[in-house]
Amino acid sequence: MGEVQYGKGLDVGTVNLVASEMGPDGKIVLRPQRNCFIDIPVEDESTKNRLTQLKVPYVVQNKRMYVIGDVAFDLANVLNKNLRRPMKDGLISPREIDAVPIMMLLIDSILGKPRTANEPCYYTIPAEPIDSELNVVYHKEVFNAVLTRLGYKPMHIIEGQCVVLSELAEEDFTGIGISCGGGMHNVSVSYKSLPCLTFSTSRAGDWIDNNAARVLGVKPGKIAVIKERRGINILKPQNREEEAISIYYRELAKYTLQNIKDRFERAENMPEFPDPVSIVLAGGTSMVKGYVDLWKETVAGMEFPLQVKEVRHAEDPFYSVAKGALMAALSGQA
Amino acid sequence: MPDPEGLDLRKFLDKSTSKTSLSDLQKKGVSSVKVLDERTLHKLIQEAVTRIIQGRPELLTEGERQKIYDDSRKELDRLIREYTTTKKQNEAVSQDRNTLIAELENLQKQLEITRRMYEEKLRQKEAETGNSGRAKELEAQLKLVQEQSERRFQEGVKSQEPYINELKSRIQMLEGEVAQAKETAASGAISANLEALAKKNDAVAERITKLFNKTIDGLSRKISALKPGGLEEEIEYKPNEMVLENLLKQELESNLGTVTSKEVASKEAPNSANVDERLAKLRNVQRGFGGKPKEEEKKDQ
Repeated sequence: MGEVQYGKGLDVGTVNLVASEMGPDGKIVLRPQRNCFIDIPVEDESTKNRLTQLKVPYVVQNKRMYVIGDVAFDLANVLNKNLRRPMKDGLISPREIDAVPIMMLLIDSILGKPRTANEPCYYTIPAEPIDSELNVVYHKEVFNAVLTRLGYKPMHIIEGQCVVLSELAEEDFTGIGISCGGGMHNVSVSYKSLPCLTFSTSRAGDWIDNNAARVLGVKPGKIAVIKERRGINILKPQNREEEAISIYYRELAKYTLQNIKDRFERAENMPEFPDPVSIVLAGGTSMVKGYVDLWKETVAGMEFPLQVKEVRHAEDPFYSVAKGALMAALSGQA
Repeated sequence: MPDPEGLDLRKFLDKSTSKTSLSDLQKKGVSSVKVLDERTLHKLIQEAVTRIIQGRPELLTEGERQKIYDDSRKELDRLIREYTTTKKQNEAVSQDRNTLIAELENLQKQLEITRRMYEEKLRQKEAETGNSGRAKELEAQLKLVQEQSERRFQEGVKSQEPYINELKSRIQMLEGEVAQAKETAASGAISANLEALAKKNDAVAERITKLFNKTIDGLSRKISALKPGGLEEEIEYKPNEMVLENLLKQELESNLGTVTSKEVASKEAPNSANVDERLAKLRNVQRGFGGKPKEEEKKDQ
């Protein structure tokens, strides 16, 4: 394997951006970056030099300086400041439209330059939500424009379907892929790699952070740190903070599954699966200990309109969507 | 002629002499005389006095002589001091004068600079007022265009009102006919009437739909045909695209070129298929299911 396979994937998440491509050794290369930034009050040459020495990425826009990516998240927690996010609920945030150029730089830093002219780049979009009025048209326009400007040929793919492509190969890409992200849960019911039914629900990781933060009187960023770094088990909370987070996780699982069930029951084009299918959970929100077990519990306790073989966690839950997008990009080649 | 010793000689001679005529002198047997003029006489007297003073030094005593000398000396010193003081005062005044002249020149220069700065500021302010004036002008024009668009839209809607009212009255009429038909249903001829009315309803409904569509099309055409008045160029009302274009054109300073993004290795389960195998499977599934790979689809097209 020495030939470069052209085509890249881009998981455009509310919380994280992940770029994927095939390396020359035939292995998938992944580059994640937090989709956020924070204001820095000082802008002078010495600060810029210092940040570069410390390998802290910064951007200057309209005479204001911003630290971006993973470091911005850490800095926000240390300084107890609010993090700014270009996206909200899975889509470009209308309040942060000025952050699109900053996001373009972030994307450029993780995608890199195209390896050939108009290299295809499959970027993820959420499916139409069933519990809100969000519209993905403008979101698509923005990313088409951004990727075109970076020299790529932009193609979009539904986020839930990416989970199917990366996790359900052994089952002929038949089953249900669910991406549990920061802004949304994206669901795709697929039959032999064809998405039959796709939709999203608007409660996800951010909903947990915001609600738990409100109840506990802390910033949402702190909740994110507890979830991601302290190894919390939502089925066995150890203290008041974990208890609050656990409660909201349970609510989230119940809410999402109920909506999925309702949607399946209402759907006209719901396929009839001859065999029981797997439900695969991926995404950052699914990585908390106990979440998959919670889903198993909840599915077992409800009359699901499909025969479910198993509920399982993705092999590589954080990067599953990016890998699925890459699969789509590579399979588009003859 | 003044006498240096204070003696009026002419007066003295007038008093102490008498006049005789030349004929009288001849009678007296004097035929020649010696003449002595006044000046010579005065000179003789002066010389006599001087000889006397010199011959008699006791006329001025030593003390008197010293006193005269001291007084003269004092007077001289006083005059010298007065002269020196006056000279110093003159010099001081002259220096003050020079200082004042220099200060005056300095103040004049400052005034000149201040005047130039003020003129510059005034020019800048006029330029700014001009720019903000231009911005205000454009804002006013935009507002005018918006008002015109709104007005024309309302006019368009209003112009269609008679149409719409006509349709409404027709609908009311038809409803009345339907109600009437219902009332005569028992007579038996109702089914034929109802059928005829239903057909008529359908035709009317179709006509109404067409008319509404025409109305909407007409309004859309009018709105799209609106040209902003008073502006030099047409404005395309696509703020999202424009905003996006401008946003993406921004050149931002950053150090992302020097800060490398972290790379993560993909986690694969030990027994699971690698990427190539999965891809091959995907392509097989797509083909086997009846789907073609996208490139083949493109070639078909």
